[in-house]
Amino acid sequence: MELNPIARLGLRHIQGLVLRVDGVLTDGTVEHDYRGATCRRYAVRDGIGFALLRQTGCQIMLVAKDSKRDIAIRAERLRLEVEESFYAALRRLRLRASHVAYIGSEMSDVKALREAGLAVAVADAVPAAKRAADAVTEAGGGGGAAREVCEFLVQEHEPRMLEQARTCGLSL
Amino acid sequence: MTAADLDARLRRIRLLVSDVDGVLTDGTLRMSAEGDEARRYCQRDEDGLRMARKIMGLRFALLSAGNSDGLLGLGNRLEAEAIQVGATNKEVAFEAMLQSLDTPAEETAYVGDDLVDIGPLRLAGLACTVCDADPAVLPHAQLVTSARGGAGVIYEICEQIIRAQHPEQLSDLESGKASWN
Repeated sequence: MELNPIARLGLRHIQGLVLRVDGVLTDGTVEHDYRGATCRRYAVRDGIGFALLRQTGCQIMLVAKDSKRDIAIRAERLRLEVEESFYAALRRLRLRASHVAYIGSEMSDVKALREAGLAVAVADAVPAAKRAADAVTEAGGGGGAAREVCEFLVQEHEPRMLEQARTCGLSL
Repeated sequence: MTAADLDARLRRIRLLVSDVDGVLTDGTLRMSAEGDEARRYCQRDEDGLRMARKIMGLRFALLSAGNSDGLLGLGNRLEAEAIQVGATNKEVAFEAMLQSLDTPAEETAYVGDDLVDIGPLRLAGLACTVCDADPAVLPHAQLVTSARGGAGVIYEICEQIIRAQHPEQLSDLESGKASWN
């Protein structure tokens, strides 16, 4: 993940990470079977990224519009909370936009990306989201993009913590 | 790490302990609207375990940080002798597992793909990982499979262990002289 030099200046102010579920934590698809049952696909490795980032004291919040039961369950397993929008997440975190990193993938994320202190788009985001972002992940949504951003933030704020996890391992 | 050192490690193995996500699967997880998890595993792994059990009585157990009924189902399907889920500290859980299975670490191979696996990898007699593991895991492993997670990793490790311990039986299988079915 390459970051432009101007965005780098604001990095030290980042105290929270907000990310959307569909398209960032998932691959953006929803499987529908013939009975109408649905299924979302996640990357397990993202959970380890959240565990690492949480250790630095950074707050994390998910965004999903009309959050479904399965999203709530996934969030609970990741020990995260879900809000309806970027702005609701900011209120909940008691942080201003410039103190938060946001990861998005869709046209509806562009406004939040423009306002966030650090704006990241996933590799398979829509072009407008990528243009609005300070950085684009190498991984796609549901393919470890959140992990990439978490490790990037840990590397910036607590590099020794990451080094320790890579040498001696990590417990959750 | 020399070939002779790897061979010596492979020859001692009696037990294989495996992580689930990213090893038996490609690291993705599907979740239904009811919150039920589904994982896709590779049947070749099942075949490899059957082969290793038949030829050398290899023991097998699962160790996962995840926590869902699906993990237990997969463990039963693969006839794991022990299934430890919800292991937040895998190093501690691995030691407890070896104690309960009464097997020394030198006779145990562990395979895992992420930072949480580094603890058990450092303890195991043979540390294995997958080619698409987190880059930080690779230096901790003596054996890196050519298969990606979910694409026959366990099979590959089983084959290596058998090749080190019972090469003649493996060549009989390869030449079609014998079969374990």
